[in-house]
Amino acid sequence: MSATKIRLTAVIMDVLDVLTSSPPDNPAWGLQLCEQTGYGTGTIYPALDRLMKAGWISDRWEDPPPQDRPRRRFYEITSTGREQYAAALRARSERRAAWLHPAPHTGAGA
Amino acid sequence: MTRHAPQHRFRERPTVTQPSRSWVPIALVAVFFTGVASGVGYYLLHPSVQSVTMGTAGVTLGIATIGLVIQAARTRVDRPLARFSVRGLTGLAVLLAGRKGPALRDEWRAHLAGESGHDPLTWPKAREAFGFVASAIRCRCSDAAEAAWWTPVDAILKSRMLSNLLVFGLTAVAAVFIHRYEGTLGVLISAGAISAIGSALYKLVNAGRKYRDVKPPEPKARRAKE
Repeated sequence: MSATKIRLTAVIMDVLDVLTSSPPDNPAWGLQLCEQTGYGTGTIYPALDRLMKAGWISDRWEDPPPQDRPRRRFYEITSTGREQYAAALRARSERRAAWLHPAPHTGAGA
Repeated sequence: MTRHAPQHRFRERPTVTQPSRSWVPIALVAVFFTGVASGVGYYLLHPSVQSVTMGTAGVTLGIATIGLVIQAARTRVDRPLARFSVRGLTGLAVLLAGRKGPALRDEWRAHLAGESGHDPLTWPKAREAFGFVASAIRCRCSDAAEAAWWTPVDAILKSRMLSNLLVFGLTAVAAVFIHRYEGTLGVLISAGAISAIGSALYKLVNAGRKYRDVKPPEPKARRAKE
């Protein structure tokens, strides 16, 4: 089965931006992603699920689990995700540039 | 960093500021005195005074009841109701999430506990819990679509034999259909349309491969042995 295809929607890009900018010693988790992107839980968690299926992000549980509160699930962007996100952004900007500034037609005249 | 002792795990702590309960004694006193006054008025006073006393008692009782209801809603009922709603919705979301449920339950508990880890379960949290339900439904729909639609489609797109079979099969069906209603001459006349169906299907398969990023295995070279 092929990996889940990721469409670069605004939600996906916002989530990936937050994950990319998160320091390794303080990785992002669900509530933080909701607060930083401004989307609700009904939007963020399906996006995370899609990104996980596509292998763009990985998760890990807080270790050691804290005694006085529920453990958190941290998300990090994988190297594959970073590469593919960069490639997708490049392709997107190229498509936009081609659409907004089409190449001038150079007639192959004699 | 000091760690708190493990007390009631995953339970929210009571907030520091308790809501005011000033309505309760006022309402109780009002109800008591109104009851005494109406009883005295009913047995001892003139009928016209009785009606005034009873009317006043009714109004006082009404106001006291409304006050008590508001107070109860603010203090006693509201918090447990919010807590019940949040837990109920989260439980429903966990159920809907299926095999991912246990992991998501822990994750969502942490979400509801907030940054502090001890946020009380209030109405804004119920909205977030409602989002969990929506999230679980969306994930399940996505999984179902993946299993019911994309898995067989990917299998066809990945295999050269299956995709060729699909293209030729559907084209043959179209040809058979035309043959049945219009005969052999009809098939010959519609040869262009039949080949258009075949090429459209072929392009559809190619577009599907591009969209799903699926590449079929390269065909074996026929002259490899030479």
